[in-house]
Amino acid sequence: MSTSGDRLEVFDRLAELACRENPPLPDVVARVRQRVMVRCLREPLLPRWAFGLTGALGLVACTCGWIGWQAWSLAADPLGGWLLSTVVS
Amino acid sequence: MSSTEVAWQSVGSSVSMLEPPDLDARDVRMSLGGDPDSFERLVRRHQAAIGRLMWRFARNAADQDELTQEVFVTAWTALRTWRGTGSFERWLRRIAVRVGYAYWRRRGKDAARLEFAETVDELVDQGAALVDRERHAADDAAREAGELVHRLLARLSDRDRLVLTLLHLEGLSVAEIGEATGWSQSLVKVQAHRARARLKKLMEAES
Repeated sequence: MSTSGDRLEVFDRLAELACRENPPLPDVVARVRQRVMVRCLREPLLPRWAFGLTGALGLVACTCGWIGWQAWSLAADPLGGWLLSTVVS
Repeated sequence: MSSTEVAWQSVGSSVSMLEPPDLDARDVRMSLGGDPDSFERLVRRHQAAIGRLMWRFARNAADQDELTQEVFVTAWTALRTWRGTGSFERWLRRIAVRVGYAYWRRRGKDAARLEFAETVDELVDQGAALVDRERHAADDAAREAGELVHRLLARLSDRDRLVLTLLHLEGLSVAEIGEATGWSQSLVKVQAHRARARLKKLMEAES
């Protein structure tokens, strides 16, 4: 029906016509409110960096505790502490 | 009635001295302060414009609804990044374009091809007949034209499709497209020129 030369022109005219289209308009207020509330509930109480800091402090505390325990057991029984007794020997 | 007018009427007389951009700024501030109703007002004010834009990407009511929601939920999570100096509507449009573009990418070009079984030739002939036809009501013709354009553009790459959609269907300027996509203005011009050339080639290839 249309020749190749005027095909782009058909597209332009169609696009011009399509600009006047009245699409259905959504009402998303209730759903957005719901999704935002779910996000709020899922959001952690602490910021993300606080989790890292807590983890790092926990690791340091565990390491200190273990070294302390080894030192205490070495002092109590020089052959009992596993790592320090190995190092000392 | 435009979304701005709806907002204008719905906010009541106590803030009637504020212009819509000021209303946006005020509602963003209040929303960041923890007031959920102010974000709801923002959604109510802009959902028509965003819904209209999302229709260009989805062309079905269910996906349009889902994408519109996604735009507002994304906006809510990123609300702190809006600097308040530019227009809130343009900021939303930038998010909407990203959401729509991601939707196209998720669906993939092949899915669109499979969905639309007709050839480009048939589409162009239908389009030419539609443009010439006088018996259609204006609304029907516009809807049918929108559908045909959507099916034609589905044959192009997502980038070509995006630039032609924003340029020809949304009627945005080169500067506005640049702002919405994050491309430079010269890139928009080059992309639009190449997209039209590829569309022409595609339409001629099947003739």
